[in-house]
Amino acid sequence: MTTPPQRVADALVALAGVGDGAESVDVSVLLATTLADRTHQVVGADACAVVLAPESEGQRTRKTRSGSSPAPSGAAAESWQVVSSHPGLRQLERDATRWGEGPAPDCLRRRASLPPIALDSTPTRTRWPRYSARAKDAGFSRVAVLLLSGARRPIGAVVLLSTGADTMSRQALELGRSLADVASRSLVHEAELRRSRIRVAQLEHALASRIVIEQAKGVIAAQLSATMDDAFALLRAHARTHGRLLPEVAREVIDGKLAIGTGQAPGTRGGAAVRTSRSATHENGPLDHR
Amino acid sequence: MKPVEDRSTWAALAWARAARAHDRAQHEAALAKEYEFQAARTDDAMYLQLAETHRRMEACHLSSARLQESYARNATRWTARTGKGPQFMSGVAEACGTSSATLALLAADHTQLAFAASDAPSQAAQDLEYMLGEGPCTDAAGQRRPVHLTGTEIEAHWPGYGPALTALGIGEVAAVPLQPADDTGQCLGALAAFDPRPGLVESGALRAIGAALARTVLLDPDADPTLYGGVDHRDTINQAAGMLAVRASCPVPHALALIKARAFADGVSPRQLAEAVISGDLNLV
Repeated sequence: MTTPPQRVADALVALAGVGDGAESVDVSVLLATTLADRTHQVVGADACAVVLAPESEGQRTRKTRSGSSPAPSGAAAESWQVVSSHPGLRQLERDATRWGEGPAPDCLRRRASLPPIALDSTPTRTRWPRYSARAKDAGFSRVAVLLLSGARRPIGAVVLLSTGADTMSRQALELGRSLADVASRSLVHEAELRRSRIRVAQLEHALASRIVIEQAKGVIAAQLSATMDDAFALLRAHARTHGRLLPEVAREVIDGKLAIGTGQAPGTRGGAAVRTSRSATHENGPLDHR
Repeated sequence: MKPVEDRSTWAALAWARAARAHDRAQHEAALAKEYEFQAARTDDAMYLQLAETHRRMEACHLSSARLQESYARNATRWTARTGKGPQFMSGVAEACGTSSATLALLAADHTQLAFAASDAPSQAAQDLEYMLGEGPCTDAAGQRRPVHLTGTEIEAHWPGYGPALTALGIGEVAAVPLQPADDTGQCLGALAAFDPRPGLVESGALRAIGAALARTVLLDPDADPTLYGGVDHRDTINQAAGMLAVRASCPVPHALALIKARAFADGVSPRQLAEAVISGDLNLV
């Protein structure tokens, strides 16, 4: 059997390697899976689940009146991610986030790890009636939780369950704690990268949309001999009337799939402009109405 | 020209952004210090790595604070005068030890989405890159690495752009990709400095300025991707391309290519040419 320090070293190597060459998969889930797998061995628990809070959690918490409580509740539970070493445990932890009851929600609310506690003790039964009953039915007798903390808010929890009474020593949990810290840093970093990717995509989309809209204004202005302002008003009116996005409509205009104000949209301001069109060149053009 | 109120508002905004950047730099410095302490205590390389990461972020926030301060000072000074408003890029150029710096925001396929320039030569250089589709920003962003060429190297490296650039009197060009994070393929575009101060590239200063722009000035939740109104979206040229497409019965991208080619051949800026197309003074059909 390998010694605990060796296991920790192996676990650290495994955590460090997560996401290498993985472009398309969710690295957070890979990290959580590795963490669940390794912590469970290092701590000597019989089952382990990693619960990750949704990223928008901070914003949602500020809106609620409960203030400091980041505990999950209601429909929002869908965005919580749970990975587990044990199939039944995954569902239990999902339910726990939905109920807002159990070791993981408590750990996140208190922003602190919880030492091992017996599932049939009075405090446990009182605080977590549904959770403790289900966990006991599954054959577990003790539970401990390690907090995954980010720079500003908790990002998740590692739930460790055992069947025996004297498992999960303080020392073993200390080792698990260090793994959780390493994983937390990787998870925070991964979340930052994800946010940055989203912001880059949003900026690119906004800039590209502006180009398409300006080009469509030019197309409409030439077709109707209208000013750029009038062309834009027509484009926007079409998008609004048809409940469509402006860049989408603009794209169809420049691709010649949509002619605005040339008879297809009667009653628009461009109607009058059509009659004043001065150039013969555009009558046979691909962008003209038939 | 922007109204005066705008400029004083922008100055206030820039001071506030600078203050927030200083706060964040301090926060990063505190984290770095903590990890440096842990590294000394445990002799663990992981802590040293973490400390380095936070030191880099500290430098990035400090660099962005300096750019905002430089803009705020210019904007305050300009408020009292008339004429062209302050340009954020002037501060960027100053930080590069030159008066000519330009930034291109590029799509994934390297087409230019928008740009900003500090002065007439850097604007002319960016126009050349836009018309010809080659140049330092395209290379730096496309290859995700710095570009640094001087003198005859410039003409040898870019057959079209090179001679046109040196004809502007520019003898040295340095560019860095604008990457919001080191370890993703993401790239917003590139920053180029012309005839920069000696050592700008070698000292890593240009890279730090590029990082500040990409991470905090353009992309941060606190960011202003218009650079206080200094970003040019080439609206006139795109409008002209749309008009020309109708008149010439060709697809819009062909019309845009025609405008670029004709402007380069005539030795005028693409904007000037586009204005002539829109006014009807120029018939390209």
